[in-house]
Amino acid sequence: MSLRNSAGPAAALGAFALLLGGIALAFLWVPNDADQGFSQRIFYIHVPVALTAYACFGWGAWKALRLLWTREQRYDLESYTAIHMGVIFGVLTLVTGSIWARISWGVWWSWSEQQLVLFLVLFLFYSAYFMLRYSTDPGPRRANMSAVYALFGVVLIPVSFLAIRLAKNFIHPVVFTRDGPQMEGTMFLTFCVCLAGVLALATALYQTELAGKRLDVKLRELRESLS
Amino acid sequence: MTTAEKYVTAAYLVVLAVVLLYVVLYAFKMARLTRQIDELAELRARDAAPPQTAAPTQRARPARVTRQ
Amino acid sequence: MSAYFGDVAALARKDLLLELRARDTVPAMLLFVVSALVVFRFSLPTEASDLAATGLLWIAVVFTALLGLTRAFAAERDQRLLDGLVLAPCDRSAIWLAKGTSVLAFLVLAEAIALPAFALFFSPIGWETVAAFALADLGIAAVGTLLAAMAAASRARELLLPLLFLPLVIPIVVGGVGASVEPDPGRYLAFLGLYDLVFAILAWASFEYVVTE
Repeated sequence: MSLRNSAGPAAALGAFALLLGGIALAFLWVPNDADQGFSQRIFYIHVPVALTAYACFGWGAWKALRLLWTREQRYDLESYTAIHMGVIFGVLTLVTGSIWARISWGVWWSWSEQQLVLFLVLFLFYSAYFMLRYSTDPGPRRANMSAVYALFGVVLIPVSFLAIRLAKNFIHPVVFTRDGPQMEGTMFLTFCVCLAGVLALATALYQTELAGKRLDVKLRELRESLS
Repeated sequence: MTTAEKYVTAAYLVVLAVVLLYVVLYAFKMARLTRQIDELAELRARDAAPPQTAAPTQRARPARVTRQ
Repeated sequence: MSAYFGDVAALARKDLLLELRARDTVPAMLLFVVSALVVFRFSLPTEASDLAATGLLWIAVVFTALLGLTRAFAAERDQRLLDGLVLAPCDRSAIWLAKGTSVLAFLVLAEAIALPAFALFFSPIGWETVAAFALADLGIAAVGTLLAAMAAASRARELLLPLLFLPLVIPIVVGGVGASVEPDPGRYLAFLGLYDLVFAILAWASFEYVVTE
């Protein structure tokens, strides 16, 4: 198991540059939205964070699939770390989304906000992932079960999305729409820079966290072999 | 600052805060890992040292006995 | 192929016979669901609509299913029979299919009492509700059996199963309640069918990894 963290510094540097640039663009360069005014600028941090969370869950499911396919144990740690990152960004999505709901409609939560409700369901699901890991003894069995659960999660995302779309009829009528159908050039560029920045941030955090976890495992093995 | 500006800034600051919190937690983790490495180095030194420290005392004790 | 279904039949028959003799899970589920319905009767304000009551019916069934699922692998876990089952020369997914079938049977029995009880206590139910429950039962059995096997392997057991199960059952509840109360149940029934198909295939394919190292 290699402890070398080759992609980490590059991702961190990229995150620093892109995120700084993106936030500058979002606050200083991009014009106000015609309909929503200044408060629309939350979009440039909220949507990239949400997309990054999805990407993390997808990455975790991919690593889970690799684990079940090849039975190589290193994928367990990679899948776990990816899902850990996904939950962090998921919580950020819920918080930034809640703030946006507060600005737009004066309430901290809205059941008609399909993105928010979907993330709430996913948050519950992946929190149970951690409960599953903590209550099972470490080993190939736990790795397998975690991997299967991660795969269930990634299938749950579109199914839940469909369910929430169906449910909106009897939960809450959808009155407000959020984004215009198209973004003009400056907005699209700002969005892309912010998205790249948040993805780079997630990659940097993922690499760092993975390196730390691998170090933990290696140290434990060394300690056991010495005592 | 208008209310909207305050909330938008708050949203960005929350993201920053979470990242900084991560850095803080990671600093603690690094401290713990460094301590564990030091302990392991000590364990290894202790495992390697005993043969040399035991021999001198064995040689010294008989000498003291014969002098008496 | 016929050997596969022979294994499934043998395992399912074992579980059903055990329940027939012990008679602990199904009576508990029946009593639970009727008691829950009575509690709901008292917890709903007098002006509450039938729609709210239907929602509560679905909740009662979900938690009754949870009760049955918690027991699903209890015998195997307590007597370490799961390892023996896994060592048996059959496809591991056959275990899932057999267990799922017996869970489904218990659930259907519980609903055979729960739905008439609901009709008695609250309001009559239509064919859409029955169809919705039939489809939902398949999904609950498919997903629940796999999760029950996971929970059985952990230290937390009965504590863990609801945590794993409830997020996955949200789409079932949406589809079921929608089919029961909305004027156009077709979409919701189709969605339940989709859920059943997708998750049954996934559970069937991945059960092997849940019970082996």
